Amino acid sequence: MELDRFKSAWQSQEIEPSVDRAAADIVTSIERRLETLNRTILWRDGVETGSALAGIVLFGCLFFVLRGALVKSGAALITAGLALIIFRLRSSSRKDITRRADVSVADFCAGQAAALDRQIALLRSVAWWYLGPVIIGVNLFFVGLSGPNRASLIYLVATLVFAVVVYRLNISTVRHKLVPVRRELASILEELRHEEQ
Amino acid sequence: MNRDTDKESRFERLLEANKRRLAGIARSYAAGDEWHDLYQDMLLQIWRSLDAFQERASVETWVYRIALNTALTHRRRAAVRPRQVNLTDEGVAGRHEVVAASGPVSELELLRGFIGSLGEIDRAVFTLYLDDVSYREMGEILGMSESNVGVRINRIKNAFQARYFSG
Repeated sequence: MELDRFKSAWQSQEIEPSVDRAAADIVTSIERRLETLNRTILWRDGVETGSALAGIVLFGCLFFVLRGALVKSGAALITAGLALIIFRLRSSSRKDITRRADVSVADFCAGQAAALDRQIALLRSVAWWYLGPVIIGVNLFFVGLSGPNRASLIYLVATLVFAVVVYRLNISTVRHKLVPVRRELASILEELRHEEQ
Repeated sequence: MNRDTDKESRFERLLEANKRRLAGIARSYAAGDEWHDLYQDMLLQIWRSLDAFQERASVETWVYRIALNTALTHRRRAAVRPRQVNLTDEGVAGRHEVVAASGPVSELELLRGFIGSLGEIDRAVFTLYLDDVSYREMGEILGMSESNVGVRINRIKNAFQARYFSG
């Protein structure tokens, strides 16, 4: 059968010397890459968590220092909102790092699909856990400080516009980046599970 | 940097025994010289997974799983995707691409052209077939039934025949 000679050609393919490096060199560059990756992740997580914690500390202190129901409510809501953001982001990333690459392709794709579903749900719900508490909180805080006037109305409109932009960016990411990948994974899983005749 | 020499020795043995397989899969899933990056990604994933490998399953099965999972992830991240031939349709022979611009085409070039036209799973199945992996092992690697593997391979072989050897 003609395919046998093709198999022979396939199995005797050479690897270019630039790629076929010594194991020690490869391990060195792998460790370097992993180090850079870990540093990037730590930095990004650190900035996110650090900013949120700084906000929690600041508004937590303001809650006790300032007087007035609106200001206190605003500060409390901002503090709670930032805490919720940290919690949601950390718990979502913790689930994703456990994915192993040495399981069957079907299990790997199923794992990726589940992770994507979590990410999609997270981004679709961004209005209530990411934007809502903080936007409401900062407006209550602002009104509490400045009183109900034109400035607080302008502030309200500006924060709402900001919230809408952020929400739409997230929904756009879901629609144009995540959903197509999710569909592809579903198609691969269907192919793997479908018993052909 | 502290080096785990034991792990490094295991990695070196794995690499020596499997680098051609890894390169073959990388070439199947990445265009042009991109396969070098994919190959390096595969090695990184193998290194990462080595501590958890308990050597209960066959090493080849383990390596192939990592390679294919890395390749599929790489493909999803890539911006450009090659045209695909849907082998579940009839009349595959009528939809093949022009493979060679001029002069005789090597068997390897023909194979790569054909592989490049396959869908993700067919690509994996055919690459494993070219490596003489058993149907049972293919099923374990992919998470498919052995019978499904067999049917798929026959379909791919028929498509290959029709494309390059039909009268």
